[in-house]
Amino acid sequence: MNADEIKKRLVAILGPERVNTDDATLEKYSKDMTEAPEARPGFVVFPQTTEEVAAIVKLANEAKLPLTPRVAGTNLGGLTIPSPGGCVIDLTQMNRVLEVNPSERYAIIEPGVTFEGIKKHLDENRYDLVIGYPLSPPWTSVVANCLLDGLGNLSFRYGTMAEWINGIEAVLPTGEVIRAGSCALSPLWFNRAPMPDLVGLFVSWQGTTGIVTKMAVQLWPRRAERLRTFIMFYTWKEAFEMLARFARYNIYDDIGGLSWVTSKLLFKIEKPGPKDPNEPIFFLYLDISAEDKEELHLKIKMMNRELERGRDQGMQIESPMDVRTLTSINPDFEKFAEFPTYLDFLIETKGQGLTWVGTYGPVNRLAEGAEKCEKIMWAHGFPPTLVIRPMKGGHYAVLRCITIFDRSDPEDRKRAAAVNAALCDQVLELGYIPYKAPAWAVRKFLPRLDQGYLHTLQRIKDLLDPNGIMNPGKWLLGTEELKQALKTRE
Amino acid sequence: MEVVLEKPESMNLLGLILKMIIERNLKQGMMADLVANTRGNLRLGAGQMKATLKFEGERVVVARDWLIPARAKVAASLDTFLAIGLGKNPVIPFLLGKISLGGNLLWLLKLMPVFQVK
Repeated sequence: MNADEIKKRLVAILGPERVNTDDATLEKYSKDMTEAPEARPGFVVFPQTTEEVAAIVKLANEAKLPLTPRVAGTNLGGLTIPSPGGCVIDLTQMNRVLEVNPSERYAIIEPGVTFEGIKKHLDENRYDLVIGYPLSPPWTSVVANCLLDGLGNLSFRYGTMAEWINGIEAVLPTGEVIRAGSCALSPLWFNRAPMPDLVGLFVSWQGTTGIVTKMAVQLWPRRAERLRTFIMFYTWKEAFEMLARFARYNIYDDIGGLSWVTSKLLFKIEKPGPKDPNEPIFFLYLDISAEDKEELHLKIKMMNRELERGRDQGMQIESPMDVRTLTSINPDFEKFAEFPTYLDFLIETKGQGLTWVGTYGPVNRLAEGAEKCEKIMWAHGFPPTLVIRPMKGGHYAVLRCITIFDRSDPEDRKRAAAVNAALCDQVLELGYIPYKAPAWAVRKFLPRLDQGYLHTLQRIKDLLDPNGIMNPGKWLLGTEELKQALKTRE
Repeated sequence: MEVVLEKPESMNLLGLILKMIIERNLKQGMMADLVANTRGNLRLGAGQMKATLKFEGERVVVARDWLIPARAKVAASLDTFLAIGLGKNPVIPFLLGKISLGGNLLWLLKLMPVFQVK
């Protein structure tokens, strides 16, 4: 089927206004913020219903047209960069909050619902519920972040955002519609158990197994009192020792931290040089919520007791500072006081390039990881912007190395790619696993992947997507490279 | 009247905080007059971080580390320093030995409001 015929058929499904093939639109959808090579799609379409998505997918099978689902494209892994000539399915017009269930505490949403959008909906309708927010722009898709195993400010308590999914409706790569989770059997979308968990077929698959058109995502009670406090440390070792100790207490909503570079960026120093050896290296933050002031004070008391214990053992720890206090010194700290967070100092930079190696891995190797990653980033000429957070009560942790670069400068893009490659090698060596992994990262860990796992991935992909139309190349699925790797091992 | 960072890319957090507070304060006419009519170096220490404010009449330069000579000096833990920066009266921490002062104290007291959040 040629491009004109495909366009005609797409227009028949969506109408002419929701099928775009103009240069400016195709250019816009050919890239993201990362150093990943651009690829120009042939079509960008804007469905509004599950039925329309299914019709597009059926047409794509007929035409062997590669499809790439997308909302904000803020995944930092090049995951929404389409196949050349393919079709981007922009889901931003599927942006309805379909239901909020206050007793079972979940919301059923479409993929175009953003963190800003769901907050507005919950606030305006006076629900006594909140969602967890990632350190991403407010226009990030809730569904996409859940499906990509992203994390948020409640991840210390509840794990990755994929764990907050109660159920989904999805269009399979062949165009059939499936429901998974309790909604496959019950009118309520309350949980994934006790059914065989088919939601997993769509989590971290990066849009290679279908397009999720509805999702039930967990919400949590809004609490009356909230405190975000920052504590400065002078060594990685002491910072992560205290982080691990805090993680033992079941009293924090969030524990995490940022390397010293972030503070410089907040003071508008775009390219900080080496750190003053006398200044703090790590800003640990603790989020505490409570039903009333008494509970809050008790939790603060416990936090201070633990800090005092650390100081008694010789650690150099500054006193906690409420984010409001920091805001009165530098109003830009306000960005850390409210959700969703908009960290403009990461995004609105010269050339607007942003990339990372984001990983999940062991808590007890954070100090070693941070030290090694810091050295690698300096060696490539980038100040070490690190974000760290224990996850799910401290069972594992996030280690994320963020690189800000100039996308318009080809040399800077090369440097960004090189630092990512070196960081990836390092973190894999330490046992960390990249999440939202771009194809280049998958290529790096391919030799380490369990043979049975790899085989099963490809078999599931072949079964669900016989024509290989769904987001080709992601996870290297269906590529000659992966097939070769499988053959070599046999 | 301007506040300038010496080597901004390697400035420590103390220097950056000072610049931000002083810049804001200098927007008030009285404070700007006070600074315009003074000369000399003021050393500041917060925790392990050090900075010097160089009052040069038309501008204030924030330098990392301690410069010699200095007309006055003030050092405290980071907490105490920030508390003073946020407007707390320095007399009590001084009496409690939490803050160390030196040099021309009258000059220092006169300049104190310049680096306190209003």
